[in-house]
Amino acid sequence: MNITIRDHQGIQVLCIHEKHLDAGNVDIFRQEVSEKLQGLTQVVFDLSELEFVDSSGLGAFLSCMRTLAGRGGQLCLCSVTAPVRTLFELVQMHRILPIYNSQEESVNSFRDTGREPQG
Amino acid sequence: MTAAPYPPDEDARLAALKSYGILDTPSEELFDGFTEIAAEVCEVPVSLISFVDKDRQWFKSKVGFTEASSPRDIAFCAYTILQDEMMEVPDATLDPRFSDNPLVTGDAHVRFYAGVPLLDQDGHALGTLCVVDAKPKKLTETQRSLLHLLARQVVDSLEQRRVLMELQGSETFRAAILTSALDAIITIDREGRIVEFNAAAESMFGYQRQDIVGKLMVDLIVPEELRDAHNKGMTTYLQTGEGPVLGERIEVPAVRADGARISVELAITPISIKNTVFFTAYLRDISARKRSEMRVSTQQEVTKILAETASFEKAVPLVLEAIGTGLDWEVGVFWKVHRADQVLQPVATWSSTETEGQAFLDACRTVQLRIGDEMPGRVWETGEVILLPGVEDETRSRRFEFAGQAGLSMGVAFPVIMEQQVLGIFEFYRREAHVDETELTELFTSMGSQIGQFEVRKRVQSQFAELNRTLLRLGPDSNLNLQLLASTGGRLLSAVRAMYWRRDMGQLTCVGGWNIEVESEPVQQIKGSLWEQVLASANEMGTVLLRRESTPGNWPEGIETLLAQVVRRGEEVMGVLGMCYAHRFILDKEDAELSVILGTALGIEEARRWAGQQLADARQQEVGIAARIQETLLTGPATMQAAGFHIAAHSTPSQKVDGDFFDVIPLRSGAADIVIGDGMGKGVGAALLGAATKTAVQRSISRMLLSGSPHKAPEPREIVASLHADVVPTLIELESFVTCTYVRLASDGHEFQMVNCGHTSGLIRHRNGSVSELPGENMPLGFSLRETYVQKMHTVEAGDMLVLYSDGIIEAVDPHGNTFGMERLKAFLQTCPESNPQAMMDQLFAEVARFSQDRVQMDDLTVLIACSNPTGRRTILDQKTGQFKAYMAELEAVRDFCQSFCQDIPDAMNEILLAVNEAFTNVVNHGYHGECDEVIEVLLERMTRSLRVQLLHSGDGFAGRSSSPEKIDDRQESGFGMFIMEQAVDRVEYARLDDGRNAIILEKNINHNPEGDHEHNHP
Repeated sequence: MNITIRDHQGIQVLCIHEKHLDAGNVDIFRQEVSEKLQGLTQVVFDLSELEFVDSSGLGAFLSCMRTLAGRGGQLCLCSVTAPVRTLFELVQMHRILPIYNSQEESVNSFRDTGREPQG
Repeated sequence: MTAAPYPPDEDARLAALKSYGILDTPSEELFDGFTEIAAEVCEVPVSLISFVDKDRQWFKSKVGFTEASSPRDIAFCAYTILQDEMMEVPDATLDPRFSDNPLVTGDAHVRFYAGVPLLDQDGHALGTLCVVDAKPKKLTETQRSLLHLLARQVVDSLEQRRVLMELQGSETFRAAILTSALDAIITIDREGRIVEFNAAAESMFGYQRQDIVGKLMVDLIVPEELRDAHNKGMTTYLQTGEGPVLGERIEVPAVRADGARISVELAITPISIKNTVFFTAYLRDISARKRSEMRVSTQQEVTKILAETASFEKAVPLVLEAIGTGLDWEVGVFWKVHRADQVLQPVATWSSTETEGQAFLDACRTVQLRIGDEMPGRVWETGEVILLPGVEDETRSRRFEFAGQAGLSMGVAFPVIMEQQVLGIFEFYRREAHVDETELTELFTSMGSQIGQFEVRKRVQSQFAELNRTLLRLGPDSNLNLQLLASTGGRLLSAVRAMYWRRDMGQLTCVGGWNIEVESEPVQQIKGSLWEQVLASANEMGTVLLRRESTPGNWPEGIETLLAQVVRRGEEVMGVLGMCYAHRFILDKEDAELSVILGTALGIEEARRWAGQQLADARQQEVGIAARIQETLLTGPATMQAAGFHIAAHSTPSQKVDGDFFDVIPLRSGAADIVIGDGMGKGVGAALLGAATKTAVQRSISRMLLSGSPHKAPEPREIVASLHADVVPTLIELESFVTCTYVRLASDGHEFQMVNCGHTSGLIRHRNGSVSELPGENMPLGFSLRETYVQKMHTVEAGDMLVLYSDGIIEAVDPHGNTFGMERLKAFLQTCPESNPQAMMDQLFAEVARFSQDRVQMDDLTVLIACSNPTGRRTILDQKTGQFKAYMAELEAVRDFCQSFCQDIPDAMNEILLAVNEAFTNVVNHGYHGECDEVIEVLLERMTRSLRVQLLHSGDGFAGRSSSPEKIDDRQESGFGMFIMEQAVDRVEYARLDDGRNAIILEKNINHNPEGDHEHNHP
């Protein structure tokens, strides 16, 4: 599972360099991500390369969110592709996680509190 | 002969003699007694009491001598008065004083004389007591002593007589006043003999003076029981000088000559004169005053009783006692007039003692009297007081045997009367007559009327209390109410029968009453002319009294009087209350008022009944109209085969028609349109709205068919838009709206299009029993002016049933208020095994009936079931199948496989991929229970309007769990799969194939309108 992480002025941007996140690879994703998230609070998942996410991927995202929230942190998502957007709309994901159009927007959102996400 | 010289005190002596007033008075028994004794004792023929006047001697009493007087100068007594002692002349011929007295020498032949001077307290000799004989004689010592004694007695008597005269003289002075004195004055001497008795006394006691003087007063005037006391008192006074009664005014009873008792006020004064005493009594007859006092206090007592007693029944015994004791009667009876039977019945009795007269009273209690019978009956007849001096005349009744035994003689009876109506009779008896009973008449007349008023007042109070109780008992049953009012009226007005006649379209019909048989001859007889008379003669209060004797008509047997009360509502006569009497009933003021009140109560009851009927009629009418509307305008065909569907429809109207409507419209193309809807509100208004909408639908279709392409029917959403445009102005004006679902069933039976405007969610019951809900997306018609309508396509398999229904089904309630509800409907559809839509329909209605326990619902119940009955198999345009191993890693390949098939439907592709992905995951997890080498076949089919994907596997079948949360929330981490799958595609079905494999069938409709995109499907 290819996941990179970059620091943007204190905000961690985690890019998922995979085409899909489904029941087939979700376990590996969970493992990798949990390592990467150690000690982090403010994290953005960049999903620009994901072309498919299923229910298990959804569950993984929610799990990350909870972990960070447990530390007083926050997770948000950005750069969602069309098929993934379809899923998120089906389950109304925007009500649970902030979704932004770009990394910059996400990062900025952490800085300016009260700014509505563009999901 | 020498005349005797005058004594030295001759003048004084003459004055004294004069003062005795004895000269020339008639002889008196008392003095005659003295001379008789003297003559007898001295054994001489002549004895005289003589008084020596100036020139004569006059004889008060004489024995053996006839001359009244003789000259003084020859009187022997003239010499006697010169001495203090007896002068005795044994032989007058030998006495030089008298030898030549003519009395001696003449025919008188007087030889012997002995005389004792009568000396008064001053020593004046007034006269003599003497004895004379023709022979010479010498008296014995005894004879001499006796003569002296007698002489002293004579003087005593003279004294007494003189005192009396003095007394009389002073009294005579006032005689002129006294004889006319109102007070009786009686004087008695120390022995109680009547000495004086004036005119007033004569009339008071009924004795003549001359008859009573000298008799003992105590025997004549003092009542027997008081005589001892009187005598004792006299004795005590004479002995001790003390007498408590003397000088005081006291009230005592006294007795007249005729035995009657009177009450007198008495004052006695003793008068001492010299050594004797008289008593003068002044008496005043206070009987009249006492009687008047008793009458007043009795009247007051009766008034007090009437003021303090709650009821007439309680008052009567108290009044009997008050009159009996106050006016001195011995027995009393109160008789009550029983109005209905017209007899007097004894209600209460009284007697002054415990035992006397009880037998008489016992006999009275067994008697009933009619008008005219005995004294009470006569009082009843005349209405006046009757005094009966003696019961001997009342021989007819047994009770008077006992009256005689008890010694009762005098009686009186008076009526308790109110405005000439006799209500009862008081009757009293006593043993002795009293004086002046005529005053009783006036007293009893006023008392009778006073008690009469009381009785009427109490009667009215209790009548109104009873009427009030009856009014409180009135309930919803009109005829029963009339019965109650008629019977109360009859009883309170003492009728023998009462009946209420209702006027209905000019006819009078007896609807009920009291003591009558409605159908009986007598009642039927009263119809006709009598009622005309009643209506003609009723006064402004509606009351009229008719009598048989003066009113011709059909009078039933035994009825003498008819009291009728007309019952009105405004000017209109609603009926008549009639009360029948067997006697000549007299209507008093209170009864007339009661009759009017009854009439009013009946009037109110009739008005209520009439209003209730009007309302019921109106309701009937409205329900009738609404039912007609529903029948003709609102419902459609019950069953039909249209297009590739079996359709069954049914509507049950509610209590008030609620505006449900439905219709099935076959189209030329072979498709069929269904419209089902609901007008807001209830009753005729809603029904009309529903009907209007239905016709508007038809109009819209026709119009569009005319204007558009002949081969292509307008789309459902276009029809709805046109319908909306048509009706919305009216709806907005009425502030009303219409919900409806418009469905076009495809002719091949495989799909339908639906436009749901605020109506209940359509349900598809799949052939395997699962149920899908199809929520509506559009607003009801009338909500806004402009609306674009969303139309959705749904595919169905053979045997799938589309269930459309009005909210009446969902809202149906059971007796506890629980609603049938969506869940119960779904559960019913899931479990009901029927495959025939009519049978399913019947079962559904049966289920609702069972649930609601057959209560008629407030809303209409409308259900329409279209069962897919395809004419042929569905057209598969293209298909592709692939085999995959049951590994999650295969998911990518599966997706790619699907994606390549869906190139031409990019909009639907993402969702199809999501659904297939989840389905595959489920098969691995739940069908094969984990990754393994087993095969999952993915069959892709392209249909006319949809894409179908089937995942076929030989793993375990698993039923689709209904996805519970409609929304994901952040508390979940798993379980989204089912939800996503169901949301992503239009149909998820689980089937078992003939070859034993299980299948998940996913189908996604492919719409060609932008509104069908799920993109806009946000709630």
